[in-house]
Amino acid sequence: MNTKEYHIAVEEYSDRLYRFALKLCKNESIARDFVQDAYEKVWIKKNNINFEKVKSYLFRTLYNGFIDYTRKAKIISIEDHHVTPYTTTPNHDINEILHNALNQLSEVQKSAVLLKDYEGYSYKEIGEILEINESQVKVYIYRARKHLQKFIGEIDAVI
Amino acid sequence: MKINKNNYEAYLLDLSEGNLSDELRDELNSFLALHPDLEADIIEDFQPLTPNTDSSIDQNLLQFDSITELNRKHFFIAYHEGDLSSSEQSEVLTFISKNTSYENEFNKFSKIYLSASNEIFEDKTSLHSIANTDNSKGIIYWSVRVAAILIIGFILNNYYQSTSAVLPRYTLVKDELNLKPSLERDSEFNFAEFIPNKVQNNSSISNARGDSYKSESPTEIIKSNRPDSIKTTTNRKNKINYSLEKRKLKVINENPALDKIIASLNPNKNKLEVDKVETSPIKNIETPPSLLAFLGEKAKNKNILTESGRPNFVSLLNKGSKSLSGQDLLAKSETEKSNSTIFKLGSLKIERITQK
Repeated sequence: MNTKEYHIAVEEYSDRLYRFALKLCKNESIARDFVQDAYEKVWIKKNNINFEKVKSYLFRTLYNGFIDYTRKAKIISIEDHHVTPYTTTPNHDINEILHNALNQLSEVQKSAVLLKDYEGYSYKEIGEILEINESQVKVYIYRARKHLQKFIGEIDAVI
Repeated sequence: MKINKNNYEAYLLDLSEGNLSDELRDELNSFLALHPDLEADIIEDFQPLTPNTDSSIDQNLLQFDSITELNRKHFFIAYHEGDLSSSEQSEVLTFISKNTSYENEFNKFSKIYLSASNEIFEDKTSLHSIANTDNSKGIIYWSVRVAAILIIGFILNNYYQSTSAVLPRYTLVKDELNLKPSLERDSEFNFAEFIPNKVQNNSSISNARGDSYKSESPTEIIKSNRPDSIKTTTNRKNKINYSLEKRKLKVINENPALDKIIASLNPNKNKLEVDKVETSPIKNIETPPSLLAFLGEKAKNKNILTESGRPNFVSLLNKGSKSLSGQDLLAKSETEKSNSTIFKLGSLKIERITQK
């Protein structure tokens, strides 16, 4: 990957990477740092990275950085564990409800769902990013879907 | 890969898709039997669970060949994920049409997909600058390194030059060291100094090394008669021999009786070849034996001196020579390094030097 392709990758994937990082860490400044670190690592190894694979490399780098960050910081959010199911008024944005439900998932499950819904990655691509096999990605997503459906509860009230 | 809590779900999924071998299926059953806590998850995922107390899992729960009430959620999710073929999708729709109570649930699963938000990474210039900084950094980066290398090289060069400029205190002399006293000085060994009664006119007493000597002494004569070529071109060894020979001649000239004694000691040699020595170039002169050594050897042969070079008084007394009687000690001197004793032997005055 040359310099020109690097600049193209910045324009095309930086927003997506930022949204993904923001959903993971829920902090804008930390998310920006993750994105910055990911692009720095890509630039360092640009000679060994094919431009067609740079997107998955960026997401994988960012995800690994996030995992390292959570292990070091060991941040535990009470909200992640004590969010009550929404069974209230339809004025609540369903997307917001889903994101709240997503926070209760494990990091791997949450990352898999985000990559699937936000970026449209296939199970294989998600497996390459998260460094797990394809069937495990499928299992994680299926379980996440069930959890989201269960968390929402009686979604008739929302709809 | 061994089945564990982290990957057993994948094996369940493979089992539902018919991709699990018999061995792995048995291993999965064994794993689930060892972990009854996981059964709750399976019950939750595959409702309803028949309350069997068997150790192995109910394989009906894991049948995914076709949609049933037990595995309907799996097919609902797979339908919305796009993992079903067209025939399977039709089968799901057929199931819903037959079981309308599940239609609402089917629709719910279509709502649990996230939509991308609109956040934008605003500081893209910082990402671009990573590449730009690295390019410009290269020039400064390498220039600093080159400058540092040059400075270090300059410092090391000065250091080595300063150390190499220090001359060693001692240099290796290739030529054989000549430990003999230098006779290139103006002074000459004055044999006459050891005959204080004979050589005294206008001579200054000097030490044994023969410092500057200025008089009409035989040494001066020798020096004056010496060809200029000798002064400048002869080597040190020839100079010594030449000076010794000259001393001998002068002693002989001043002491004619000595000539007879020498002749008696060496009857085969009547006369010293003085002229030959005086006129022939120094280069052609053969090294004659020194006078003292010659006399010494002869004296030993005649039992005048002992083997150690000392006067053999007993022999001299026994010879009954007139000159041996009444031998008197003429002079005695002492220096830091030696003792000198001069005594008379006939018409000769002999000095004995004893090193301390």
